[in-house]
Amino acid sequence: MSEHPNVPKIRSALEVYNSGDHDAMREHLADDIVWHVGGTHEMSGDYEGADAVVGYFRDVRKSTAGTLQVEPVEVLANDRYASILMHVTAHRDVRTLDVLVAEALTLDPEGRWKEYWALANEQDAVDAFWSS
Amino acid sequence: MEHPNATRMRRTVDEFVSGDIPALLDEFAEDVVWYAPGDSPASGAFRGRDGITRFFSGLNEAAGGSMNVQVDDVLGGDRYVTIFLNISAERHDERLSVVVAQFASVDGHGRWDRCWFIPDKLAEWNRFFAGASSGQR
Repeated sequence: MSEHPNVPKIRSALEVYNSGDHDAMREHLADDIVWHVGGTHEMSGDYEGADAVVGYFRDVRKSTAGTLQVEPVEVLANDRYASILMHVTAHRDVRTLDVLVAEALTLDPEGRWKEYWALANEQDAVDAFWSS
Repeated sequence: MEHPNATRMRRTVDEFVSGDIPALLDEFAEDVVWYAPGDSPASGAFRGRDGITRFFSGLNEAAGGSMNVQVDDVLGGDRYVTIFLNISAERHDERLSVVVAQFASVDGHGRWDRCWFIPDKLAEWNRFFAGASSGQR
């Protein structure tokens, strides 16, 4: 079965995310994107608009001294939706994060990300990692 | 043409909706792990067919038979599938309307062995299902 063109676009966006080039990452986001961060930690909540989401990316990178990396296990996509299963690893002081996260995206007609929501296999570990 | 795993996931959802529990449970590996988010009693990691039975029963109980599940779209691959569901329900004055992405991996026997159940509006989900039965971690 042939790969949908949104799949390589998403893989490319994830490489950009790992590089920390937030201006390039913004190109993958719709202006009115809504990004839901689950859990009960200090980053949890809804980020609305590309500026807010890029601000969230910057905060994540700063808090983890640039160590947070995402490694896609699977990317599925069609014209409207995408899903990603990824390993997420990061360090924060003495804390280490190593979880498997399933993510859902809605896409606009240009393949930009419009809405994001996700769930880790160990949400307690995510909450503990981000707690102050 | 739809991937066979996408078709299988549509069938799984149909079995949930129609209440065909034996057929539904047979879609899952015996050691399935089902991850559900939030801080309601219907949250956490539910293990085995008993675990997912508790999760599904909790949803049905909390929704009091009002749950409506519509398939919006399915993404299928050889090892993973994601189905997007519009789920609504009512209980007393409370209304629920969320999009759930259900992400699943397929084992070597064509059964779901890991599932992530991911509602887009978590606060709304938590409020509605705060009274659902408890999961076993």
